[in-house]
Amino acid sequence: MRGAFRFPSTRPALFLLAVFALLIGWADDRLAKAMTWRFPAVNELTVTEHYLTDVGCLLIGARRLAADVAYVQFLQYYGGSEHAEEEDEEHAGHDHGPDGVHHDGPPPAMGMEDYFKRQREHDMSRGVYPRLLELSTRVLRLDPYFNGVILEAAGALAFNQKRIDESLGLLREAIVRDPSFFRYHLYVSAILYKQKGNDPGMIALLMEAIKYPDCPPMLEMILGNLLKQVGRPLDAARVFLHTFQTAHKAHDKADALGRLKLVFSQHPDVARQIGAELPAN
Amino acid sequence: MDSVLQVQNLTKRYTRSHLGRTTVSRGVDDLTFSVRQGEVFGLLGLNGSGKTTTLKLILGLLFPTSGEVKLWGGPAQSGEVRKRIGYLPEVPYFYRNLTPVEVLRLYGTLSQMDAALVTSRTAEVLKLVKMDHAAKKPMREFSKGMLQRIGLAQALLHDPDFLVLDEPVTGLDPLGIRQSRELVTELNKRGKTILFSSHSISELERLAHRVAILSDGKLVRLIEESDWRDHPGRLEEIFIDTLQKSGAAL
Amino acid sequence: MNRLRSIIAIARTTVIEQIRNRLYLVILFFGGLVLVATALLGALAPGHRTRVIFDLGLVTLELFGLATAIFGAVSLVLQETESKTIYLILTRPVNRSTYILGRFVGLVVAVGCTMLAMAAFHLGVLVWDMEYFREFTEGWSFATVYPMLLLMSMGKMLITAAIALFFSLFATSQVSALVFTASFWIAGHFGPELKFLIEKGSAGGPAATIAKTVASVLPNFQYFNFRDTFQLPGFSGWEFMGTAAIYCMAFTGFFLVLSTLWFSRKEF
Repeated sequence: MRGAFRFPSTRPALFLLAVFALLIGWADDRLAKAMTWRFPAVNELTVTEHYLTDVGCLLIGARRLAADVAYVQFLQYYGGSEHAEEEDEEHAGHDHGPDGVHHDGPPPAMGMEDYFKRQREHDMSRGVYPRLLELSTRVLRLDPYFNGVILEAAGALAFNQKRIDESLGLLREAIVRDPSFFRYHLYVSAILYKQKGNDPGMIALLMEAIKYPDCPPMLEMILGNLLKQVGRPLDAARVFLHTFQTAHKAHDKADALGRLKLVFSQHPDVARQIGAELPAN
Repeated sequence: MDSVLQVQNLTKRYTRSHLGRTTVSRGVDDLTFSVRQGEVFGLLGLNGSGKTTTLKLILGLLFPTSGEVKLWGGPAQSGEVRKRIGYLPEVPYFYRNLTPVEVLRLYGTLSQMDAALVTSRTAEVLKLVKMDHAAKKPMREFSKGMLQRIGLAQALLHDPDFLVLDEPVTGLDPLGIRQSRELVTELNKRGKTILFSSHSISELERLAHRVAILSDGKLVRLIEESDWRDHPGRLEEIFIDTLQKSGAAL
Repeated sequence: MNRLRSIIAIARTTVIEQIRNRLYLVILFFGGLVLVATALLGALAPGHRTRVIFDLGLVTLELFGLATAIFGAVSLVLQETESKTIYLILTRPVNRSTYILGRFVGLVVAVGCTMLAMAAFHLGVLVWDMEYFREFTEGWSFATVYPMLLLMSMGKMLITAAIALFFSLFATSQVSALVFTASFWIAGHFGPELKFLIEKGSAGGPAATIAKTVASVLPNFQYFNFRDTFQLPGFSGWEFMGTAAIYCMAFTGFFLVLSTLWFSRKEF
């Protein structure tokens, strides 16, 4: 008998495929709707020499890691230089460097990418960090929820580098990308007070800001200096002590300790009072 | 006598497409034969004659283009049927990082043996094939002959009724060949039906009750033991003569 | 019952094979090494040290788990076919779908073991500096979140392993199967970005339609990137995770059924 070999029926398998396809479609739809957060797309990323690394990390689903790496590179560029008193008044807030390059945000007709490009080309011989905004924007666009870094960068731009507009620009973009993080508004207000010369207003807002663990040590020391300047050495000492106790970087600890000792030497009564406030151990 | 295996008009064509060109080659063509209960049936042919293709079609590793294979009257793909078959490939390959005990445990479970039986049979068959001393060594350390013995062990593990042996003496030394022959004879005496393909005409002469000669995928002659018994070398003469008549290139 | 026994037997053999494979041990060793080295990168980011160790560790865990999954899946059938060890399985009363399932289950268990081993390394590095660790985990439950993150990574592995197994059934070489699978991995992460860009872009046309369709049928691995989203405001883990689990199982099941269909017709 000549018979034809027959494969088992594919109907059960095709039915299963259809069921799975429907489940995939249903779940995909629900998940897409539930993903209400959004990270900046690849075309929104800041284009730096590390762009390929950033895109590569996105390709393997390591966005947060990309932001971490960007932060490390930001620190390598700027870290260790947060001396609140290294304010070069001659260059505060306006044109820096012999070529007259403006460091307070791009001129109206210039886009951000071109602005970053010009900053990169600027001479760094005067200790200015022209790429500070670019590198911090890079972190922001990789992970808009890496709030601590943005605060650190905004503080550095506003209080160290006197680049108020750049700082406000960074914070405004951060607010757009993460509107729920209210401390951005706090910092914006503090910086605006600074811009207007309203020291009491700024101090009040910074006193609020330092209550949170993500407040950069640099900002705490700026606050401490301000408190000293307005005749509040006890509050200044408390702030420096807090920075010494909580800062992660050895450099920040040493800086805070140095300022604390200076306050103690200038105000022995403050030293006694702080001593009394400290626990016995 | 009942047939264990029935092959009816079995054909296998291979279609290969490459760069728009399709070539069709024949594996086997319109094969019809049966293997009776309790006999030793040999497949004899040159390289590429279709012996291994025939065995693979019987075992379900290849699917026929047309024709039928039945075992004990039922379809060859059935699980109940396959439980009763033991297969030794030409060159048995095993998982290099596993030991014979682990591998036999796997095969025993897949043959639907219960756990206690797997354990007892594993020890038995390893002793039978004289590999009990290497039961717990990884098989990457084994020689070809040792692997062949393990191959035989796994074929016998579940005490099958029908054994399919593809070139069973390949890689064995003369002593191994003799031991293999004795084992096949012993198994046949116990009632096992055996189908084996071989290049070794002398082995077929000694063991087989019937021999099918394949050439170019076709069954060209089926000969009984009586045709060559008591005439050593007669099977070879018949084989060469048959091939010449069929026009095979010698 | 026999079918279940067969699946378990094949799965057990697969796990043993994988674990005794030198490549597996090499992957585990280098994964552990990289995880310990995360402490170095963490040291470069004072203030966010634990976050860096956390993020880099999770990515490392996932990538090395992926390597195990891809190499394992490709070697399962492809190597077995080339070495003919598969003959002795398929000539037994074993359904071809049983074989595929058993191999897949074994592979998943092996990958799971890799990831758990590396998670142990990772946890060791994380809690090595308890003070920083406490600061980092303030405000959220590490004991709940970390297993969730591992499970979500495993979800990606499941889908990827199923895809890798499918490709290995008809790929002509291990390299091509590896390349196909790795491409799917990347496309699964990048596809949603691509889809978003196409939707936002003004261009239509057949290229955009094709790209959109392709992005729609690829698995969206962004759903499993809890490590990017678990600290986001308003993020609700459990419901999302439940739906993601269904998505994962459905995708895995889809490719396993495809594999079974293909494999049932494969000749040896």
